[in-house]
Amino acid sequence: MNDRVEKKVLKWNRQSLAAWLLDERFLQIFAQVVFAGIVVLVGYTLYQNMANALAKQGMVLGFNFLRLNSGFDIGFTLIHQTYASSNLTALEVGLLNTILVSIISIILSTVLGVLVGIMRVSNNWLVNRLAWFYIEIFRNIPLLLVIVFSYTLYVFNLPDVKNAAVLPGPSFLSNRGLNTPSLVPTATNTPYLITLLVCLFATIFLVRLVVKRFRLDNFIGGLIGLGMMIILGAIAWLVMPSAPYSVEVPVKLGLNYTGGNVLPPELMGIVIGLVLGSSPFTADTVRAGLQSVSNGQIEAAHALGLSGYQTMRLVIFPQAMRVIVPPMTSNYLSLTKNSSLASAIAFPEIVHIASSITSQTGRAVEIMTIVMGMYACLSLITSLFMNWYNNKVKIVER
Amino acid sequence: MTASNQILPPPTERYTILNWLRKNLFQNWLSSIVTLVMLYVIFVSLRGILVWTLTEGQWQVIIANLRLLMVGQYPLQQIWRIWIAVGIFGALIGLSWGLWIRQKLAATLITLGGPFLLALLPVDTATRLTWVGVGFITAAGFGLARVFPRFLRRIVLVAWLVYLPVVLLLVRGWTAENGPIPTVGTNIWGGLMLSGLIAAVGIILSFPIGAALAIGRMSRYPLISAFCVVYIELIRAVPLITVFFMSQTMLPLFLPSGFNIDPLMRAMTAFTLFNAAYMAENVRGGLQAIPKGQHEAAAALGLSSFQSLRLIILPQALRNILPILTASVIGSFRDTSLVMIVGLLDFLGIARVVLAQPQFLGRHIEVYIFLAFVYWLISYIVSYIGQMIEARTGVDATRR
Repeated sequence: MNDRVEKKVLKWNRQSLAAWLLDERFLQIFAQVVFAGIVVLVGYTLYQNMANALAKQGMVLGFNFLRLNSGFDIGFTLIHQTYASSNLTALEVGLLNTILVSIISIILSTVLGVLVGIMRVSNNWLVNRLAWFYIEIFRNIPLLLVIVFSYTLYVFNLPDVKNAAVLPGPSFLSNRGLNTPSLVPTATNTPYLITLLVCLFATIFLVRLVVKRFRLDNFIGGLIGLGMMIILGAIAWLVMPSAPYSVEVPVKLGLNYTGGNVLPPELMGIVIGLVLGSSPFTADTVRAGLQSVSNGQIEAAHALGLSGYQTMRLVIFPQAMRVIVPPMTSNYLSLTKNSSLASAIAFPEIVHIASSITSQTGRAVEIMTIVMGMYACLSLITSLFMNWYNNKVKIVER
Repeated sequence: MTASNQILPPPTERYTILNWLRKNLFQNWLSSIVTLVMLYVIFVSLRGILVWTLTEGQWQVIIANLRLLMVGQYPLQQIWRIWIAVGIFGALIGLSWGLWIRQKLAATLITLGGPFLLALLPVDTATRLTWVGVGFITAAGFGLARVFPRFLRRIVLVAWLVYLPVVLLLVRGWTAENGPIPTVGTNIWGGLMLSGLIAAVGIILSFPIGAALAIGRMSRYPLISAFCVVYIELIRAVPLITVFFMSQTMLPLFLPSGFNIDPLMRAMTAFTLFNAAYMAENVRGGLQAIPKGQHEAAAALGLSSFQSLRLIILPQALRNILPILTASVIGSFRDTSLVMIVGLLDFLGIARVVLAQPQFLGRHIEVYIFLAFVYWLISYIVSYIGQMIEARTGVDATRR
């Protein structure tokens, strides 16, 4: 009797265990626990290996090295930096240079890309084919090759300082870079800037009022505002007791120029390379956007009596932007990431400086973490901005 | 159905040359001015390029260094191994062309004639003869495929699958110094061969990893999908070059002590892991484009979730993303040039070695133009093959 009960209980237990094991809810949790276990185990093993390897070299993970002297001068800096500055300052210089290169290249490649994209939808066969040719060529060549090629051409095939080409400004183009005049702030600089700021607010206020009162186009309002600002700025410049800025012209001194701004060949090389290498993608995006607007829309606009400019501005453009902006975001993101290729031509952007610091301190793990974190932040900021812009241009549905 | 109620296609436009010119080049005065300016610019630049190419350009630098550019410092006595790999590749291309893409006459002629064209290059006689041999092997493959299509189909597929491992083994070698096939260290691999190998390994290995990541990202298990999301987004947020740097400096640290991994392996690992994140997003795009009804129909038929994935979802998803896959294959091939920055002598890296030779100082324009042309040509061929496969799998026919 007792025996039978025990057997029954056992049998029941076994069945329920099986049922329980095959229950989807259990499986779901079980699979995840196993997965998490594997990830943690692999991660722990890797970390342990790394700690062992570092211990063998007598190093401990830590970020104290950031405060030590970097020990090298950086050729192109936006903030003050010398060999006595800290590693952190060097990284800051690199980050600023990366941002500078990215912004310049994004603006120029957008201008060129939009131009080629519009050429690509032109009715003129020759213009159309030429744009197609440009896109096909630069899309299929590695960006790094374009950058290295443009840099090498710049350094080897431009005249030296002695025979530098004189551009308006006066600026000088030579294989040592592009030397342009610079503006040096004088004593009246601060009051001038404050005046400008006041003028700016006044202009924005006035233009808003005018646009609302006369129901003007926002674009035309912007043009009026810009014109007003230029006139006000010029008046303020003349009214000031002495000029708020003095112009410093580069002067040839021996084998180089002194004074003024200099855009070094590395900067020119990376910007030219990035612009040539990225604009085909922009052009293709623009073409796709323009072609996505159906012909009926354009015909309808003409039927309503809109002019060519009005059709472009009020009908085609708003609809095309909806298609253009999302892929443009990823174009800009990849351009920002591609600016890291400048390290191949020794332009001191973040990756180049990071590898210099790595070779000086041996802190590969920490520095790579910092650099990757910086790029992740840049990507995040770019996509936040583009999402905000996309929300502005996307068609509002009911 | 009678002929009268058939819907005729719209008439195609036909022009005389003059009409065509007026419609496409001289529509109005603005268009005419633009055309004339463009014609002048094209004339001047073409003349400049032609004059430079034919008179000023000294192409001796390419001819003298062709072997270096193609295979790096691979030992001369062992180069037959690379030729065997090229020969097998030719045979496989010929076979596949004969089996699957035979309708396009012009493309077929170019494919079969490619090796013979390469034999016309101004190189030494032995190389030329070998190219002729490769040409005959390709043609033989094409012929065989036409004669025994049914029999060969499966064999060729398997051969493609094992091709890359076999080539890697053959190029690397496995016997001692004095054996028949001595080991050649990866430190002296180089040139276009190295670029091709890195690209091939990166693309092929990244595909299964990427597909797994994509499926994991869409999984209903929150832990798994969170892991995949973090991996994909983290990799996509950073530039490839930092991943290469990290692999060169950190990968050896992560491995147990005594376990050595050479720089090429490090680069290949990094490239694969990097590509996998992008591949995952491509595959996810394809998976998400499949309507929900397909999942439900598969479930209603009693297929398990694995079966429905393998038989219903993935085939459709892959066919949908073929164009993107072609583009990303080309992109990956271009991206291999970045290994130059971490010191590998790939096609671009070896070009710098060539430019450092004292007798060819300052010949950078010739070398870089040659490089650009080769990269462009390969990208073009890959995109053409992609279009062929798209046409075969009928993406357009099913597009709604």
